[in-house]
This record gives sequence, structure tokens and C-alpha cells, in this order.
Amino acid sequence: MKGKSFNNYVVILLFLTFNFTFAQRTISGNVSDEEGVPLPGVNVVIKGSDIGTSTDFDGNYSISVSNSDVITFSYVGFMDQEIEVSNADSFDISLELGSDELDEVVLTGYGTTKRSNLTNSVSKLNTESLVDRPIMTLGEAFSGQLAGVYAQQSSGLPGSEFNIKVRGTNSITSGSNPLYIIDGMPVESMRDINIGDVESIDVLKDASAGAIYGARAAGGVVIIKTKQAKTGETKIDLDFYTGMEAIAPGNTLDMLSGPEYIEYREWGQTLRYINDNGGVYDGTTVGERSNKYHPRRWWYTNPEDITDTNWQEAITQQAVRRNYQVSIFKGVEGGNFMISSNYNATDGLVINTKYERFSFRANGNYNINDIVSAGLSLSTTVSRESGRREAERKEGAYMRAIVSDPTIPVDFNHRNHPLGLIDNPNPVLQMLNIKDFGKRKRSLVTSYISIQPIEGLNIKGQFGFDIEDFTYDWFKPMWVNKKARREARNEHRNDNKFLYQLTATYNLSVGSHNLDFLVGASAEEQDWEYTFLDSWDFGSDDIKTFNAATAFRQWDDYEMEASLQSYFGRAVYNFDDKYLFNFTIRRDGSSKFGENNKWGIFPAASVAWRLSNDIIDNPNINQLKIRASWGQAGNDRIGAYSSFGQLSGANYSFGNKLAYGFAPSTASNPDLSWETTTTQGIGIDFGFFGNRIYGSLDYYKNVTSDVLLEVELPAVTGLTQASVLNSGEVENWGWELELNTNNIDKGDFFWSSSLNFTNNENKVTKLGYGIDQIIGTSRNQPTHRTMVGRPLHSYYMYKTDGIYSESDISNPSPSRPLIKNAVAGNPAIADTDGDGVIGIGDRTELGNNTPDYIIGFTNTFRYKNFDARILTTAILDFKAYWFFGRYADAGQQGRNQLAIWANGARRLPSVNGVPTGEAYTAGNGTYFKEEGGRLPDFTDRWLYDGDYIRLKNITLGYTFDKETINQIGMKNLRLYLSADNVLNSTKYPGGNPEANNSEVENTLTTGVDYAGYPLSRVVTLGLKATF
Amino acid sequence: MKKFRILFYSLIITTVFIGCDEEDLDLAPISQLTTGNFYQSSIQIDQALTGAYSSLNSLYDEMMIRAAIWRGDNSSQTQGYANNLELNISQYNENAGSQVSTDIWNTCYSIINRVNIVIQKSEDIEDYAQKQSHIAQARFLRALMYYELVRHFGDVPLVLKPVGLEESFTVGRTALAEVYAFVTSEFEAISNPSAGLSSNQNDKGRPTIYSANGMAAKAYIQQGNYTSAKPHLKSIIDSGKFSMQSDYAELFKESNDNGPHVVFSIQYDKTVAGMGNGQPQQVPKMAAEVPLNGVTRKQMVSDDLWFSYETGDLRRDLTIQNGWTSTEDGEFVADDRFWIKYAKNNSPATFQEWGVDIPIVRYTDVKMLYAEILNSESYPSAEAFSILNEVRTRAGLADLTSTELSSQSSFLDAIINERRFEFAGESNRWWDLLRTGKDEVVLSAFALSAYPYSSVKRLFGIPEAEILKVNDPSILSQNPGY
Repeated sequence: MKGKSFNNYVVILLFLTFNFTFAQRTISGNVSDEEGVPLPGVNVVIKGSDIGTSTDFDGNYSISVSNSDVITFSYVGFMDQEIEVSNADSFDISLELGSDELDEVVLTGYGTTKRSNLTNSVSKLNTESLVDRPIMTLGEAFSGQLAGVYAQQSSGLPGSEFNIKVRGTNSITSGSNPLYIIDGMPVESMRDINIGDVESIDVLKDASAGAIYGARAAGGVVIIKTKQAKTGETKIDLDFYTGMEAIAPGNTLDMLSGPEYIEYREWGQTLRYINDNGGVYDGTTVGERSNKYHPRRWWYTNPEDITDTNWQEAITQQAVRRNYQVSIFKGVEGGNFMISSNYNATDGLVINTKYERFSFRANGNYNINDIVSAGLSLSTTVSRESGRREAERKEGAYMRAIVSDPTIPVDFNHRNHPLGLIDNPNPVLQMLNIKDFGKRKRSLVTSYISIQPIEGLNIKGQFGFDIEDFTYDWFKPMWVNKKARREARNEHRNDNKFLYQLTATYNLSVGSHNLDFLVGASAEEQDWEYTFLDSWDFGSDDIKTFNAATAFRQWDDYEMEASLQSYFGRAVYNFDDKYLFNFTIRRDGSSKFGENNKWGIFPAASVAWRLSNDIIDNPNINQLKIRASWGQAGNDRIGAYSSFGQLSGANYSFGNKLAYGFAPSTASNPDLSWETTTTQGIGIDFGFFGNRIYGSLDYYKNVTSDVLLEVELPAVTGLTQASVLNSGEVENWGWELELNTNNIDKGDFFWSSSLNFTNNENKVTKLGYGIDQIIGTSRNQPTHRTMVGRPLHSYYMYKTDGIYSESDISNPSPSRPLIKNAVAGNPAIADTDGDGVIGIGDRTELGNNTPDYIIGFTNTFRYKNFDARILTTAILDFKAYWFFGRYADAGQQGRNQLAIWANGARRLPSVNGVPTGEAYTAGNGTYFKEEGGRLPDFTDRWLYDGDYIRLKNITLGYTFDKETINQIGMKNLRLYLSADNVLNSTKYPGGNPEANNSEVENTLTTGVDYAGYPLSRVVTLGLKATF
Repeated sequence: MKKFRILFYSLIITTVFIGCDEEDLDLAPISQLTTGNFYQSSIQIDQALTGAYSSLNSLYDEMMIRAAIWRGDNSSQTQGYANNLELNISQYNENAGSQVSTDIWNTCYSIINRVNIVIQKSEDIEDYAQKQSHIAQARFLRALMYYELVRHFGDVPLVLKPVGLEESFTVGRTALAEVYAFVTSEFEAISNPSAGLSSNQNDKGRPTIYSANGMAAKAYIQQGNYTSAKPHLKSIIDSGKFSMQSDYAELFKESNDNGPHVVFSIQYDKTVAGMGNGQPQQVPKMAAEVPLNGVTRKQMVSDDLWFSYETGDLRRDLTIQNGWTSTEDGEFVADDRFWIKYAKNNSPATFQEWGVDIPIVRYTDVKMLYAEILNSESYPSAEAFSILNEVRTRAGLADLTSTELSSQSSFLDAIINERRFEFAGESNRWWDLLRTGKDEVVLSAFALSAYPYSSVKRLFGIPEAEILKVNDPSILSQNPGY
């Protein structure tokens, strides 16, 4: 009975509603986009009521209204439009592209929501702000676009991936990369994904939003959706551009010229001669002095061979970047299809480096009938890269070119030249003649079938795979190398991932109560295969494949597999768009973890209150929402078998009879589990003055516990390899602002701005196992420290305190203790521990490589058919260590020097207190050093503020009038000019302060720049045409 | 009809999802054995034991020799090579972070862990033929490692079973005397044939009861305990299975590896990549005197040693290369001396792989120690003189009699001195100086004034990395002077 009376009540309510809408009549019309293409499925709703309809396949609608009503037309991807009915009978509406950002759809993982109803931190990357930019790798797209997301470009090598960090670094020795979801498929990288196919990118920034992805989401989740045709649409997009690249401002390093170099070396030899000669300067000729140390110093015997080579110029080139994309879209009733193909070729700035990519995509969805639909998303790419290993690494060709002796001609083959100068190969010949070639194929496919048995319920089964195949060939011919052995490498990697997934969503609306439920289960399998061969036993320079090898020097071959089993659910409750609640939970079981800890649970909850729909009724406040979130997500970035104690081969030969043996190499850790990041966050979303000003402000605190930490175990365990343990705790906190303004929208002129501001700081609160600091070393010396109570990965070096004066040396005082063998002009080391001597206790923390502030600022202008967009980025408050400066400065034989040594900064030593020869000057702010000297301990001498402000991109475009274009059968035509890395302002002398190319991949020593591959300035001319 | 369709498509979806039934989360490594699935059979125990032997290779061709040779007066205090590792040890100013002591420490404990596993896991397997032998060999290696640790570092953690992750941070040092007591009691125990070691001198590369006797004696003598050492030495001599080679040059020939002049040695095999002996290659980069020279490293011989040889001592030129010819320009570099003991008369497979073994206990060592004991019991001892002169005759030197060595102490001095030349380039000298207490006098005279010797350098520093890992001086403390 109770149920029945409720029904009656509803009927009465409905009846009342109808009664009140007196003077009803029907109006009708058609809705299309700006190009006149009919839009089906547009919501046509009477404002302030639940009454509405939607357009049919041809864009037609009809609705009962009264004269005083206002009708709202809304459609995803288009601006809302409102009309007052008054007396008209029919309205044909043309919806404007672009959307009311507050109502844009945000992907939240296994579902979507409207931005205005978000309860946690999700940022949407507006792909519109990326069009016309010559973006090669998808990571570049993130640069300067989103608050809370740091896209670090550690190398200018074409095809190299950006390092994406969402809300800082949670982990100390383990990776903190985000998880990527591409068309519903969780993958580890965005490598080779074509930006031209991407429709939207959403970033789940906090663990509350990410918890739905459980054990892998602690580093954030990046959800990428590729393009699909809109219903009713038929079009072909052509997108072509060609660009020229040159070395970016500040990336040219200033070195000594040939004559300056000879002068510098002569000074050095004189110095050494005097030292060896008991401090007596006897007026020996330069030639004699030189001969004493370097019998083959040929400047004196073959002066005609001296040249003045600018090696950096010789090893770089003006490069060309090209991109061609064709996409075909077809939307039919109940379905949509899209295919595209793309070719991108980017030459590198360093000669003979190149990245090339061919990609193909097909997306399609089709409603088989009113219950069943199915779809797939398929992409396959082939990319090829040349010169990666040679050009980029520490002491690779690019770095060695910069320090190459400028008196040697470029075409000079060190190996064959009778003067035989240098052990290392000529870097230019090296780049030209070494085979260094990688090939990658990636196929990413997802497909689904879904049924809707009853209204509101949707059950979806999904299957997908991501297959990556990589081969790499490297061959160094004998003739480029004085060390005279041919060397070759061959690598092959095959990574596969499979996903099976079943989800069900149910949507229920009762009055103002809206409920969305999701439940799901998924299973993932991954396997990896790797083979590697290395040999230096080749008989000829001409055959570079391994059939010609007669023996292997090293080899490796392994297979690994991992599996993940997950169950997840979400409940969203929305009361009248006023009060919003979101609960998620995920249970993940992973094969990567120890047998005692296979399963973990990741819960999250968030709430929001839309004040503007509730207690605030101010026409100037269109949106005001406060939200609070809490959640947990995990990080599982460890090897597939880290929990196992593994054995390695360890043989012994008894009386020359080989016996096979095995010995443990890693610790068995059955308790190994994920690290957990717990987020607490609050935020405000706002929109004022007709949403001319809108954005959001967030504050968060992340606590990462059970950190996956590589711990060096005491030797009594018998293990020398560090083991991954769950130990320690890291905190990250910060605030973020996204602010968008429509500054001017008058007649033909439009100006809008978009600002994002990120603040992130971190500290270690615990390390565990009695550890209070972890030292990171470079060249066997401490350079970094991660200490409890301090930020992660801080530089840890000696601090310089000016230079020693003559009197510091002659009258040493305890307040200014000397370093060993100090001479006047050496950099003085600060006695930070005040014990009166310089010792290891004087090393001190000197900042870190993680920027505290990141700013992106975009200004967009439109005047008539012209438009312009300017993107400025600023990365602030971080340090960068210029290892290259230190390396070059060590002054070893055959290495060129920084240009600061050209003049004025050198001197000859005193003899019995009386300066000899040149007087000592501290000129150019540098210091005295001995030629050929040993490398000094690490000091802040080469530690710089990395802060930079960069005019990242300017794009100027012209869009032709539709009428003109339509006459030649085109729907749209646009020409543009785009320039990347236009201006750069930084104090960092090494070019790219974000460079990171240490010899070994080691997160403990982050921020190591050995003259990384230079960044380029790219100017492109492009054309976009739609047919 | 609609219901049927729903059912039909639900079936399809369910089928898709069949691939999704509970994943196997217990995936073991494919390309590696694990501690969980190994140690199950006698063969695997044997392989685990081989795994323990394996690390002896790098321990004895580099680290041990580096430390002991450079500490003494046989190597130069003025010339080293990159990183100055050895030079710092020679100059008594290496710090506790020295790679040499770190490597010794790590490798010894790595071997100890491996044999502890062998001993523990073999207990879980029902009896098999070689079980006793496996355990006895494991005990030998473990005692050998503790012998090395205790004489290098003094008090050291004494662990006799595998150590867990958490536990490893709590293991402290055991007193030197207790470690020595363990070492000698173990060698004593396994020198009894019933413990399982072979009494066949020909069991190549594996310790025999004679190896155990030899090591027991050396461990006792290192503590100055002649009495307990004597019966062990005597049993080796009395076995009749060993003999001194009549030609010194034959002692270090690869073809004589595991000959009757060797009681225990570390095995090297140049025919297998990575298992050769790298020690002979510690020579100047371009020295034509050593085939396939290719390493920049060199370990320089002290002038003091070179000029101390008696005229006519055949051992000098078999041990030391005096000057070298550059392969690059044919120039002769005079007065630059390096060890050639292991390189002379041998040839390598590749530049770092030589086949010649490194003896730990030579029969000559056994005899000379025995002579030392006899001398300590009574002077003059005819047998002691006979042993000394047997060694001198082989070196091409004249006999010494009670005329030249007129007292018990002068005989002792003579035999210690003789050992300096006999074992030059092996690692006995430094330990001889320490056990006889001659280190202060000899090394103070030898050391350069800038790098004086101090008795705190009798022990090496506990590796700094270990101290930092444990990070609690009440558990793991540092030796004085570091």
C-alpha cells in the first residue's frame, strides 16, 4: 500500500506540473553546427524545469512551451545557447563550437562527469590549445598547460620522451610516473602516440580521483581519448606542416677558439714547467717546455695543420621537421568511424640523428540495435630513431665534440692521422659512420561490446592489448676509433600487455536524487622478453650484422611476466546539482608483490557543494563550488620479481674442470608490497561574470608511506645488491591555480588568457631501518643527499666561499681553513661545520632539482580571420648541476676549455712570494686552476639556479572565410606559422637546466647535466584543410 | 524476442570475460632460479657450494693481495694508480671508505652467507653420499673467511646461519679472540678425516684434511700459538704427500697448478671467460715483458725489497721485473719495477685471464713455519736449519749455519727474512710482520716521513658503508684510527 500511495503522489505532482504550464504550444526547428551539419542528440530543455527533448538524427526537434519560457540548447563540445520563446513558432539554431568549460565532460576513469560536478582534482588538457604546435612526442603537450603537472624535457633528442610528474615526486628510489589510460587501456607510456589523433587528455591528479586505478595510480593517471567522428559528420582533415630547427637560445656553449686554446695550453705547460723546475722560471722557450711534457705536440712541428674548428657548429645542423596527417571522419545513424594516418619526420640538431614515425589509426563505434553496441580503437605505429646512443649519452659524440681540441680539422681521422692525437674517435666522423639505429613497433588495440538490458543499466565487456617490439643495432667500425676494435650491439625487446575487463554502470534518477553506480573487474597480463648481444670480434667494417661476429663479449636473454587482478566500484550521489558525493574502492592483486602481501585495497571519498546552485544567487557568480577529497592509491613500479630471492650463476673451476654453481643475488622479501599515497585535498571551482572568469584553486597534501626504497643491506646478509623494501615516508604538498579569463570579446576582436600556477614541495619524514640519510654519489663522491626532514634528492656538496687570496695562503687562519695543496686563486671551501679544517663534515645541502613553482601562461587573440596564441612557461626555484662545466674545467689534455679561460683568468704562480710572469687576476669572476689538474671535489662551483622563463610558443594563424572556401569545395582552410622556444631567460650557462643524462639511471642523483642534447628552436609553417 | 537478445548478448559478453577469470598471481621468475625453489637436491647443494667457491676468484686475485701486499714493505709508497686505492693503503692513510676493505668485507660475508645456506639446507635433505663432504667443505670456506676477516678487521660479526633482512641491521661485532677460537676450532674439527674432507691430495681445488691442518696451523701461528700449530704442520709433513719443488721457477707455472708443492690454492681457469686470474696483469700498460698487456694498473715493487735480495738470489728476477720496454715506441723505462711472479713463464688467454692458480698454503710455507716452531722449542735445531737451507739452496744461496745464526732470535729473524723473499708478491709478509711484532720497527723505518706508520693501522677500518647502513655505533663500531 505504501508503494502505491507514493506512486499516486508522483502522479499528482506530474499532473500539477502540467496544470501549471498553461498556454502550451509546440515549437520546432533544426539544430546544426557552424558549418550547417545537423546535430543529433542535442538537449533541448526548458530552463528551470526537467522538461526537455533531444534532436533527432537530422537535428530536428519539437517541444511544448509557453511564451515566457527560455529554451536551453546544449551539446557536448558546443557552447550552450539560450533563446526566449516569446511569440515565435520555430527556431533554427546554429551552435558554436567550443564549450562552456564548466560543462565540459571530464573523463574520470571507467566513466565521465561534467566538470561542474567534479568532486576531486582532475585537470583537462584542452587539445585546442595544442593545435598548430609542432608536437612530436605527446609529453610535450603537457608543458605549461596544467596546474600540478610538470613536463620535464631532459633532452632535445627527437623522439625522446618528456618526464611527466603529477604533483611532485612521491618515491625516493622507485619511479613516480603516472599511469596512462589510452582509450580505456592502462599502459605504461605514451611513446609513439600521435598527438594528431588525440581528442582529450584528462589528468587525475589526486589519489582520491586515482583510487579507481588502485595500485598504480599514486603518480597520477593520464586519461587519453582519441578522436571519433560526430554523428552526422562527414569530413576529411588534412594537416601538414614543415619546420626548420636551429639550436635554441642559450644552448650554444661558449668554448675557446683554436688560437685561444693554444695560448691556454702554453700557459698550462709553463706553469707545470715552473712547478717541476723548483719554482724557477728560466725563460725556456714555449716549444721546449711543451716538448718536455708532450713530445707529440704538433703545433710546433706542423703549424700548417693548425685550424680553428668550432666543433659544436660542426656536429650540429639546421634540421627539418615534417608532419603529414590525413583523417577521415564519418558519422552515420547509430555509429561513427574515423581513420587516420600520419607521418612525422624530425631531424635532430646533431648530425645524423633522426626520429621518424608512421602511424595509422581506426576508431569505430556502432549501435547494433537499441540494446547492443560495439566498438574498437586500433592504432599501430612504426618509429625509427637514429643516433640516440651516440649523440645523447655522457661522453657521447655531442658532448665530446664540444670539448674537442679546436686546433684539429673536422675531417681529421684520429686513427689514421700520423700525428695520432687523441684516443677517442673524431666525434663528427663518429656520428657519420657509426650505425646507431632503433626501430619500434607498437600496436594498441581495445574493443568492447556493451548491452543496455534496461534503462540506465549498461554492461560492457572490454578486451585490449598493447604490443611493443623494439630492435636496436649499433656498430662501431674500426677505422673511426683509435682504440681499434670493432664493437657491436644488438638488442631486441618485446613487451606485451593484455587486458580483460567487465564493467556495469547503473544510473538512477529519482526527482533531484541522481545516483551513478559502477562495478567492474579486470585482469591484466604482461610479459617481457629481452635479448642482447655484444661483441667486438668482427672481421670487417663492412658487415655490421651479427652473422659476422666470431664471439660474444656479453649477452643477455630473459623473459618475465606479471599479472594484475582487480575489482572496483564507484558510487556517485548528486542531489539536485547541489550536493555531490563520490565514493570509490578498488582491490588489486599483483604478482609483483610478496606472497604475504598480494592484495591491497584502495578507497577514496570526496564531496562537493555547489554553492552557486544552492545558497548563492548572484548573477555574477555562475559557479562556486567547494570540494574536499581523501583517497589512497598505490605505486607498484618495481621489477616483476623483486620479492623473490634470486640466484645468479656463480661457477668455479676445480683443477680446470668447470663446475656450474649458483648463488643468491637478491634478498627474498615475501612481505614486499606497494607504497601507498594518501591524499587530502580541498579545492574551489569558480566562474564569475558569465563565466568570463573561471578556474579552480586546490590545496593538497600527499603522504606516501611504505615507500618502495632500495636499501643497501648490511653485508652480513651476503648480498651486495640493494634490495627493495617498504620503508619510509614522504610528504608532498602544494597548491594549484587554474585561471581563465575572457579579457576582451568585442566585435571582431577577442582576447583570452589562461594561467596555471603550480606549487609543490616535498620532504622525507621517515626512512626506516635506522637510516637517516641516503647519499647519492657521482664519480664515487657524494653529490646528493636524501635526509629525514629534508627535501628529496638534495644536492650535497661543498660550498665555495670566494677564492683564496695570497694572504689566505701565507697567513692561514682557522676561520678560513685551506683545502689540501691550496694556492692563491683556488676556490675557497666554506668551513660549514666550523671545526677549523676542511673535511667531509663541511659538505652541505645546497638545494634540489625539483622546481617549487611552475607557471604556464597562454594568451589567445583573434581579430577577424587572424588569430595568435602565445605560451609562456616558467619553471622556478630549482637547482641544476652543470657536470659538463666541471668536466671541461678539469683541463685534461686534449679537452677544450670554457671560453671564460680565454684571458684574464689565469696567472703564473708566485716564486718565493714574488709573482712571476703574468699577474694574478681573478678576472671574469673565475678562479685559478692548474692545467691538467685533477678534478676537484664536488662544490657549488658548478651548481646554478635552474630557474627559467621561456617564450615557449607563438602561433599566428589565418582562417579563410567559409564562403570563399566553400566555393572550392572546402569546409575549412587555415594557414599558420608557429615558433617554439622563441626566447629563454635563465642564469644557467649549460643550455637546458632540465637536462638529466647521468651515466647511470639513478633517481638519487637527479639533475645531472653532461652537456645534454641541445634543445631546438622550431619554426613551422602549416596548413589545415577540411573537406 | 528482446529478452532473447539480451540473453544472447549477455552470453557473448560473459564469453569475452572468460579470459578474465582469476589471474594467477603466483608467478615465479622464468629466467632465474630462486632461493625458494633451489637447494632441493644433493646436486643443487653441490651447485650452491660451487657458488660459494666462485667468489674466491675475485677475492684472492685482487682484494686480498692488494691489501696485504700494499700494507707491507714489499711495495712502493710512492707510486700507485687510478684512485690511489693501493697507494693510500701503502701510505697508511686510507679511510674507512676504501674500496679495498669494502670489497674484502663484502666478498667474505657473501661467501659466508652462501656456505651458511649450504650447511642449513643440506640438513633438510635426507642423507646422501657427499653430504658430509659438502658440509665439511662449507665449514672450511667459512672458517677461511673468518680467518681473513678477523686478521684484517679484528672484531667482526660472527654469523653462522643465514641472516634475515630485519635481523641484519642488528648484528654486532664479536670479539677477536672469540672469532679466532671459532676459526681454529673449525679447522681442527674438519682436519679430522671423519668430518668429511678428502685425504686425497689430488682432489684438485677442494680443501683436503691437509688444507684444514695447514689453515689451522696458520691461524694458530697468527695468534702466536706455536704449540697448537705444531701437530697440524707435522701431520702434513708426515703424510709424505707433499714435496717442495726443486726449482723455484716451477712453483708458479700454470702447468704445475695443484702439484705436490701446494697444500691449498685458489683455482683459476683461463679457458673459461671470467674465471681467469687477473693478478699477473697488474703491470704497466705498455710493458712488452708481459704478453697481451692491456691494463693501466700497476703494482709497484719497493726499492727496499729489490735492493734487499742477496746477490745471486734466483728468486729476485723470477719475482720482480726491473724496468720494462714500451710496446709503443720500444723505449726502455728503467728503474720501474713490478711483480712478474705469476706472469713469468705463463701465457694468458685474454689480457685479464691467466690460468695460474694463487696458492694460499704452499708446502714451503708449511715447512718454514715448522722450522720456526722447532727453533722456538730449542736452539739450534738441526731440522730447522735443514729446512731453512733447503729453501736457500733452491734460491741459489749458500747455507746458513749456527755460525751466522748464533742465537735463537737470529734464526727467527733469518727465517722471517727468508720468508720475505720466498713469498714476495704473495700476501704473507704483512702478516709475518704483525705476528712477530716487527711491524713497528720495520715499517717505521720503511715508511716515508710524510706517511708514517702507526700501529692502529694493524687493522683495516670497518667499511664506512657498513657503519652507515647499521647507523648505530653500539651495534657496529669503527676501529680506532678511522
